[in-house]
Amino acid sequence: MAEHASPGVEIARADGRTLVSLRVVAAAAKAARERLGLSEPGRVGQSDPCSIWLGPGHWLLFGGGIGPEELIGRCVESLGGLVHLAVDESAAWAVWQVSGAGARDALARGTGLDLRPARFAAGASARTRLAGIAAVVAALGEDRFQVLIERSHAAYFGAWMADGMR
Amino acid sequence: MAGPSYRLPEGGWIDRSRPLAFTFNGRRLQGCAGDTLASALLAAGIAVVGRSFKLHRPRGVLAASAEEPNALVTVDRGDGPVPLARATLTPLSEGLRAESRRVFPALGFDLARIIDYTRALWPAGFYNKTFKWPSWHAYEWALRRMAGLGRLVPAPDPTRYRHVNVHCDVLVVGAGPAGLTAALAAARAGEDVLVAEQAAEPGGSLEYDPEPVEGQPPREWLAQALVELARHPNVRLVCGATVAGCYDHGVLTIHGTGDAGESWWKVRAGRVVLATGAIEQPLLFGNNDLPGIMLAGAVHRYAARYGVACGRRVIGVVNNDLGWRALLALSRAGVEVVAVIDPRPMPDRALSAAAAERGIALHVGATPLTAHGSRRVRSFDFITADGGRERVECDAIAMSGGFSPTLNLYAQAGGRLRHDPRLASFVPADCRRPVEVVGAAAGITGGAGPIAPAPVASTSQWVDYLYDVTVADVELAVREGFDSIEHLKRYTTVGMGPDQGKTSNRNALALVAALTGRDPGAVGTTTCRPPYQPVTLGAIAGDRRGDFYAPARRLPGHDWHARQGAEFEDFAGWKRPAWYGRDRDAGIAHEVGRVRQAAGLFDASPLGKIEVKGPAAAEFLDFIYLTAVSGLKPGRARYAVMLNENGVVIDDGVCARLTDDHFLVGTSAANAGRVAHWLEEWRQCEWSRRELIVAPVTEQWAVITVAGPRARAIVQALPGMIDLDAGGLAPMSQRAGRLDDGTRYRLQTISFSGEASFELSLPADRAPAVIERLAEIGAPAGLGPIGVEALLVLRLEKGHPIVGIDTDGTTNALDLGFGRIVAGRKTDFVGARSLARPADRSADRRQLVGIEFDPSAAVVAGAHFVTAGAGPRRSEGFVTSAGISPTLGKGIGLGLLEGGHRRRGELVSVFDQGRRATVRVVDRCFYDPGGARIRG
Repeated sequence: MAEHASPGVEIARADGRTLVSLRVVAAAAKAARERLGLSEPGRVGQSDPCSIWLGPGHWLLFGGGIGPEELIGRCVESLGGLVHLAVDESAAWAVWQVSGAGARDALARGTGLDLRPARFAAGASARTRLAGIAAVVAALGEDRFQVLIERSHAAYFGAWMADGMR
Repeated sequence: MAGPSYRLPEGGWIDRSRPLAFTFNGRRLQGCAGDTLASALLAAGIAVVGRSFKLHRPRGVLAASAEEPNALVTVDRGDGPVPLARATLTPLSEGLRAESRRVFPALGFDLARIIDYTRALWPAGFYNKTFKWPSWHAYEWALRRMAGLGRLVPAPDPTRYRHVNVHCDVLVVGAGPAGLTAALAAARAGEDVLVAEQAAEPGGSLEYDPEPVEGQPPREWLAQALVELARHPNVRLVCGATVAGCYDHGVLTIHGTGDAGESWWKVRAGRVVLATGAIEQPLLFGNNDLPGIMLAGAVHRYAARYGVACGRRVIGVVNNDLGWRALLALSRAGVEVVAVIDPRPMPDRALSAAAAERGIALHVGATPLTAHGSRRVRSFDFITADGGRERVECDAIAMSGGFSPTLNLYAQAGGRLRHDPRLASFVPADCRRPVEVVGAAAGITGGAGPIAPAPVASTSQWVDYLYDVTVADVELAVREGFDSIEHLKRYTTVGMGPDQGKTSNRNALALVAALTGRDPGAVGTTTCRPPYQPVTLGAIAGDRRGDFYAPARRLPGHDWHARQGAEFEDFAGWKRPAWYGRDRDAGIAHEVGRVRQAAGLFDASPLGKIEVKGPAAAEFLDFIYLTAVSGLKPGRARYAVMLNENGVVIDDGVCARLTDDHFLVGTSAANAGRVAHWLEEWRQCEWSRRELIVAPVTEQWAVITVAGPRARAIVQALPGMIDLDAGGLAPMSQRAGRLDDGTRYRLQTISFSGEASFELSLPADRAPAVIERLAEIGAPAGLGPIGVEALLVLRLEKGHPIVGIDTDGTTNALDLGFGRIVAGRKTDFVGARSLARPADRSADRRQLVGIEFDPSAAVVAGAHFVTAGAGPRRSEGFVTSAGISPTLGKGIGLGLLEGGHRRRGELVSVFDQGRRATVRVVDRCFYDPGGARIRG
């Protein structure tokens, strides 16, 4: 795990959690959200399973200590006859924790997202372009962010973050 | 050149106890902390700071801020030279080295000055007129060498450039009194405020203007304002930051300079307050470009802010009250002002009384004529109110021709300007965006006066200092019909220099108005475009260079490939092994042989994978694909082609049916993202009422292909692998399972190489371990890695086209030979309608064919098929892929050839960069046409 730190910013890879992407057809979106306790648009949820809203009828679920099959099974069980697709994406994402007083500035180098505390407080999430690549940014705490990028970009993104701290 | 110090004995905001050494054109000089490069040069008595662009006339500092057209120098602080730096905005630092531009061979003795004496040869548009015989090109090389505003350094740029994204409620542009007032008001209201100041320090006119602000001395007011702003946590004040552009949606760009390197900011502001001030304009008279002739406000500013006297005997030539104010303040600051010349017969009575009291000679109602001097102004001629010609000796002229509010950003924001005859300038009219203009930028009173050329030769009166445009050039342009201000600008180049006409546009406009008898408001202004000031290209690029120029994707097994000696190349954004080993050609041939004789391991992870699920999935994919897939049984796969609405082939791949309502769409590596968007667009826009889900999973799955006669045995040996017996698992099958170590996999028996082939999909994080195991298991059987280049040869031997290489944006399904599939379709599909049009069905179109040729023939991709026979030849298409097959020992290729499908067996001429060859048109599949090897 590449780890970097500079005054005010700490960056760490946080892979290894079970990630399942869940998509449901538009007509089933509301029911799915209620049954599984999924997060609202633009939010990262705190319930179990923890989820990030990625788009209409589309969430990324975090398995709290359970594997992808079990999490997918839970979706199938809860969603019953609703048309949906839950797929294992545990290996599709590289997950980073960016924290510290300088975390916002470190991310603002590469994204036009409005990260001001009042606009992007804990619980907010967004898909954006970060350092020229697709990313999901979620605010977990006051100065704590989770950044997800496609795994194939991990080496590039790690080097880019490290370069910014030089 | 440099005389004794011009530093005043006292005054200014400089730290006289901290001297700073610097050099100018190699000459050692000294300034003080708090100086700009310009103020330090003036203090050292340096009058000539550069030569003009076209005529190489000596030029001195004109202004004290961003509008400076002459003092553009190359500055090196030890981290590489920066060309085109405005000396007026460059803070002096210890060891700074400055070089003037365009000096040959030396600043004091510029040979090219001869151009000035042959000025008549260089009128506006000279390159279209003077240098016609024998040809412009005969002169171009010399002119190019003499022109130019700086030198590029070919070495890599060591400068660090940073990108910054900022959001704020209010962006205040300018930290003078108006800007700071606006910032304070916004800060008190609790808004997020960003204040951008182009100078190295905040203050603007507070630095020199003695007028009290809110009843307080200006410097005290400034200090208090800064203290209060610093107390607000939501306020950020940035100096050395020039707002370069204003764009849609409240986006503005800032070019930042400072100790931490250069930066490029994208600001998203809720609203914008422009406190950009007004720029004093030069007056028109003879030799108004001589060193020592400066803007009155600048002369005053150098005295009050930097404690520098721009001359020991200064005269004022002004046409407005603010000019008088500057001269009076200058006199009070201890600079000797000997005379004021004003064309107005009745200037403000209080001002003239004050001037007379200070012993300044007053010449009102006078007509300015011309300045004299060579490297510094010596005297000035004018006609007095009673008609006599007079001359005053001087070593500096403080001139003021009125003021022009700085509204570039306002205009960029879509703001309209209106000409105010009372202020003799353009002022803001209205703007559809939330942009507010405050302070002098909204219009400045007391700055209006008559604008007219002096009754002397118009070739000696400069309008644009930077690009050497004179009154005569403007007159000539108008005579020749270029009387639209936009035409005039392009013809004379007025305002086209790096200063963007900050001190020339106003006078050019006034001249055109007078020459054409129009009101200045009717003449209008030229269009303001970003950037407001020159921006270093490196700042715009930011960190997007070197490794960060284009984000590269890495294979999950990258490190393993590297250990095998892979030579990585970029393929559609991925770093992929092109071949292994040092020798390219030998490596590729070896890898091809490996697959044909034993087994090769190919990393196909970039192949696009998209899951499509739902009751409507089969019907949807039948519509999306040319090849119907609804007939597939679960566990089976099919090669399928995708078209766009024009029937043009946009991608191909393998579609597998996982269960009744669940499909796996395979795309080419290059189109993985595009096809996912394509499916999503059709789903959202045209199939929104159907129950259908599209989920790209490319990143989740690594794909490892093992191909070759021994592939089956090798893959079978993976512990936990399902039974691969040929009887049970035919080509084009799809299975899923779990290896002994728990790794889930998907397996497809599909072949691109023409050999028995097993495409194993693995969760990306498990792939490296499985690759290791496969390599270990397969090594005794001759398994080794193969790169993209070898695969390109293998597929060429099989005649498989690659969409985008062997097809272009016009190649439709029929051109690729899919006529029978098109004819067999019972239901509608994307592109079907287009393929029914005669033009799209024509047998004369460029159609994909196979070609064979002698290995010694020069046939390369890109070579043209040309018509046979005598006379002029015409292209009939081109070769899209070509190579020597190591397996077959002959040249093979693919190409798009007019009417190609009916020309089988024909010999066709091929032409490439002067070389000719002959190829035979053949069937596309060169190797194992029956496909026996695929079944293994």
